[in-house]
Amino acid sequence: MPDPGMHHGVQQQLHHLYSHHHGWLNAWLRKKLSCQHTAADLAQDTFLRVIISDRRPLPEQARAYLTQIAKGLMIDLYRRQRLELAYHEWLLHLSPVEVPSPEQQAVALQSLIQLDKVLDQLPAKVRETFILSRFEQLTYSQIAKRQGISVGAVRKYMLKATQACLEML
Amino acid sequence: MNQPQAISTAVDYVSLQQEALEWQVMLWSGEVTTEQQHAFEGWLSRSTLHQQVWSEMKTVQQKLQLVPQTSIVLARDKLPSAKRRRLLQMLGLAAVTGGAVPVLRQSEAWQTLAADYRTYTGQQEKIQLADGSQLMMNTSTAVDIAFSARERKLVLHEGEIYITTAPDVTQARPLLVQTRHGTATALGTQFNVRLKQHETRVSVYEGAAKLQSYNRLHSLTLASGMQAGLLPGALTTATSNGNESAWLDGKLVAEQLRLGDFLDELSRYRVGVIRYDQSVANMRVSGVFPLPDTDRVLQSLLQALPLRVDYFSRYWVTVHAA
Repeated sequence: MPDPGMHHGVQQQLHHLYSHHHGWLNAWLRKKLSCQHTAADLAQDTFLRVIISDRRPLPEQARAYLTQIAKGLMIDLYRRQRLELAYHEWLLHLSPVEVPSPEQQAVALQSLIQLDKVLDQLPAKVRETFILSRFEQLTYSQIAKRQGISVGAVRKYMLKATQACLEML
Repeated sequence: MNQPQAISTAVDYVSLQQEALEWQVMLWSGEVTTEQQHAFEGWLSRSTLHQQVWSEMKTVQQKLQLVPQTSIVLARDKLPSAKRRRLLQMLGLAAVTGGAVPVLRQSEAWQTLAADYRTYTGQQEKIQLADGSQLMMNTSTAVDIAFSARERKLVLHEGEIYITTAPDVTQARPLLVQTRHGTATALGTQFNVRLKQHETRVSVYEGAAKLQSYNRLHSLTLASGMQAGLLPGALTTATSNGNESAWLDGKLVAEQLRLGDFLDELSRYRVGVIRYDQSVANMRVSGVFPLPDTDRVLQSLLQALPLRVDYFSRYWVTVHAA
């Protein structure tokens, strides 16, 4: 949807980018994904990313730029599907009375996807420390021993991870 | 004069957020002392701004509690780029997955997921409360702590807890446990509270406890060594304690117990389901079994009784007659 306040030149630039590149990008994604609907969605999302970001590629770099974004989106999609699958698998192992309602499932899955993003951008040691504390219920001394670091370092890592959660969750 | 004040509030907010982060990291250590807990509560009660900042932290806590441990394991290993590329080639396959999941509503589920303290299947946890009381949580348990100026209330949403109360030195507030079936108020005491589907079972081990049904029409003082059931509109007759507190020692104790009841009990500690044929449900089991190693318990059953155990997967076990 074009922003009414958007500069005319920018709009023309985007129009040019879309008309010259949408066709091949869609075809390229279809080959990669072997599902035409997903490919069409990702092609749209790719252009949406370009519109949202302020970066405009030079004409000779447009193809490389668009493929780079599209690849990133495919990885996101893949991770999302993996997480959905893992979550649904977990649900199947619950006894019927333990299964959350569809609304709760949606909220939980959203939290899982967000948390996955948070963890993904943390350094490995910080991530591991946070998971051991929050998901394996180890105390800081136990984590320190297991990771071969000081309790002070555990606290420092937890501070970093918790801050990231506060900003992104 | 308005402007500088607005700026100083913004600065306060940022520094309070930093303080909240530090408190959260301390509270998550699993090694919190009573003094630290007190200090935190002092901090929290300082102003509404403090509480506002802390409520953001609570949102984070709640979101984390929603995430099942098994599904986050996937996120642990960041994929190296070569692996990513190969995985991308598999995307065509991954795109067709998904499908209907059987779903059943449960009204208390949300409270359970968002509770202050939570254990998952097979876990037990010890918690030191701000007043020095001690709370042991059994498998699959969710508790909210609601301490106020008037009372020390624990709300049990699911599972089982064992409480060792500390006297409230400064304010002499009563300590009580509330469930959907009623309340149990401690009278200087150690007691076990287990929320079952149709009743809440309270067993007193030291001192006494006063039980009151949810509709407040029935009450009863339960002495040490006795147990009774809370119902929304009634109380059951008091009887002597059995082995209700054996879980504290990591044991499941059975004395001529129906096998069906035994397996139901065992499945509380096991992720997934344990099904059994009706033909074996009335066999009797006796013994002391180690928790939380439910596989070992199932194996030892095979030695004692003419049974066969089928594993469809780790999460689906069926017990038949041999």
